[in-house]
Amino acid sequence: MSGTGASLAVQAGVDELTGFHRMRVHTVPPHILRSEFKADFPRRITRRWRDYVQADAATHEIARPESDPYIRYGSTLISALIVADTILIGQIGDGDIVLVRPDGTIESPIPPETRLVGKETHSLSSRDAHLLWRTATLDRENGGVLIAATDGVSDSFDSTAGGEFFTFVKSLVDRVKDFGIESVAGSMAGWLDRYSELASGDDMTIVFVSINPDESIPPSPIHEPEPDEKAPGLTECW
Amino acid sequence: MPLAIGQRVKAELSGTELHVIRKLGEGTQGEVYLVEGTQGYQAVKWYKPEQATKEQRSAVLYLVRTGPPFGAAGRRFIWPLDLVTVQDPSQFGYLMTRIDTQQFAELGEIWAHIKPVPNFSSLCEISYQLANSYRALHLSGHCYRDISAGNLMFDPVTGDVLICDNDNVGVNRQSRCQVWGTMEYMAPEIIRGEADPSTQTDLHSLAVLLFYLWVWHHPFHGEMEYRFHCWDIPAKKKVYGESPVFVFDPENPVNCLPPDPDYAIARERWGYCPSDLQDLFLRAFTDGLHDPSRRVTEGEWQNLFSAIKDRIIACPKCRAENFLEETGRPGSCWYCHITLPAPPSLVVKRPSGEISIALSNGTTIRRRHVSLTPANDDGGAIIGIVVPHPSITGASGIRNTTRTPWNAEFPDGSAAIVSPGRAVPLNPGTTITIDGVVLTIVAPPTTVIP
Repeated sequence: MSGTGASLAVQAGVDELTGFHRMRVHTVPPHILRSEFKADFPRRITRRWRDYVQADAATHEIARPESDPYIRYGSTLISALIVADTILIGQIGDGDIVLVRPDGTIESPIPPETRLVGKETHSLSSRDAHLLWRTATLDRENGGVLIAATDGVSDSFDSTAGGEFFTFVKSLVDRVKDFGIESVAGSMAGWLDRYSELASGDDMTIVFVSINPDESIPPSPIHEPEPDEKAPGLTECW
Repeated sequence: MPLAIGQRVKAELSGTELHVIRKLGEGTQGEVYLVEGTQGYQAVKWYKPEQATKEQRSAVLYLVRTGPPFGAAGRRFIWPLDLVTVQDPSQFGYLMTRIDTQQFAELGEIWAHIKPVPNFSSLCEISYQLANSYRALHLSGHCYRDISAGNLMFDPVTGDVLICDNDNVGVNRQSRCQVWGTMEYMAPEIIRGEADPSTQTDLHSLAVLLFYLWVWHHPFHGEMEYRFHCWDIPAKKKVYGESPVFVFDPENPVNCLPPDPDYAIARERWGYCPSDLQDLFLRAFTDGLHDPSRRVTEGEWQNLFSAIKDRIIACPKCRAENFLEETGRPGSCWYCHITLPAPPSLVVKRPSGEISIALSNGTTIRRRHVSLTPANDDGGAIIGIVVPHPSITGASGIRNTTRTPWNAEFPDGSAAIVSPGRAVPLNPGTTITIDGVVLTIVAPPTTVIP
């Protein structure tokens, strides 16, 4: 059920952020918007996800074991809300979210989990999940490309302090600049399949959003990579 | 406009130039940058355009000129050291000392298991230092106006505290402020529009912060908040300002904790709080809600946390820390559930009253236990510590960690000088004289079998 749990997590995230935005955007100043997001979002999204899981379990008549009613639906989640001058970010569990500024600077507002053993991660089904969220706010400024990825993507690269993953991220942004976001999106599935095949073997999801995009770049197709052609960032033999 | 890496900015009052090294983080009011100048590495908080007002600039200049409260209590404030400017006069920030984020943690990092959870002893120290610092700030005639977990950092091991974002500090009941804090920490009368922030409203915010530290939950997040599907501004005003009800109010269960997994941690951690701490929270969030003069003062919090820290003993089986009840009667370990043996205690007779410190290995005796400390000292210096005997299993003593000798008198009438580094055995009836104050080691109360 974890696939369903992840879908419900995305739905809960979208619904919660939409509601949060609608209720506050015209009524509170930006600094209050930021502090209210940090104070309320983790608790409200976790509760909403559990409501959705309960509804789904009832639909499918899944008997919920007393001890761990949500564990079968467990999912990590990365959420972001981009408003006029701010980017609000929340994350539970592993994965990466980075913002690449137009000058190439990479901002990584949520540090990686460091105290868990091996591949363990926090999840929406963890005990006290509402306390396990990490939140951050970024100034929107002149935008950039916001990239969120499941752990399978960064696990495909050298894990030392961003290293290869950041190289991949930068090359991704360069391609968005050169070919337009839609063209890059069209080629992404092939690249991720290749990373998975060559490296982590894990399922991968990546979301990238161009904030304040340069409209002057005409979308142009990227040719599909040949079998022996390297995807961006995968430059080392290992 | 944010600062650029490599940009030069000016510390206005000192006239020195600062070099922007990198961005350290981003808060609700602005960004924080690492800078290098004549004083080495420091940090600059740089205001977002909507926060860079004339009033904020005046407030920062006032704080720079006034300086923080004196002594240890004041040193915990990351106080504005200088106004920082660029050529564009509409932009500014302020200079402050850099925080070691490896050592100091935010509460959210503890919750997310990024940093270690403080034990009871550290939690008492964090709470004591917080109350001590806000007491000093209030005594200096200022109010903080934005007390919240977002402005607190602490060392989870030692309990040392840092208070950040002091740019909203102002003169009590006089200066105006553009940031009135977040609603969940605001006193109800501010939310209802009946009062401006003051030292009295700070006391409510301090109680909420302490509750978050101990219970990991908001004191009003119960059935009422749970039932609000739409958590908008009117809903928040209702829960925090118009009809606030404490979740553990025994007289009014309307806002008790719902039977939902979100609330298990609050129930569990409330159970760990000793009864006298629960009593103060109850007063803060019942009487203190409706009558600000009944709020728990910083001095009361300070005395309580000092007292309950003195009643911590380690479980002899699992080493978990436990609070002895005020009566000194033994309870059972919260972790492994064995009945705890009553420990010996150290009774200190002072002009202000008698205090009792439960003694087990690791217990510390601090300067504040034996002397009235001046306003610029929180009395936190350790003067003695209970240590196991190097060769006799089960025996312990109080080691003199000061630089001056103590005098000890034993029950058989003999006496000894306890040089620095030496330890006095935990022998009931032994008295130790430190700076003219007599401390007596007292046997544990005997259990009366009916």
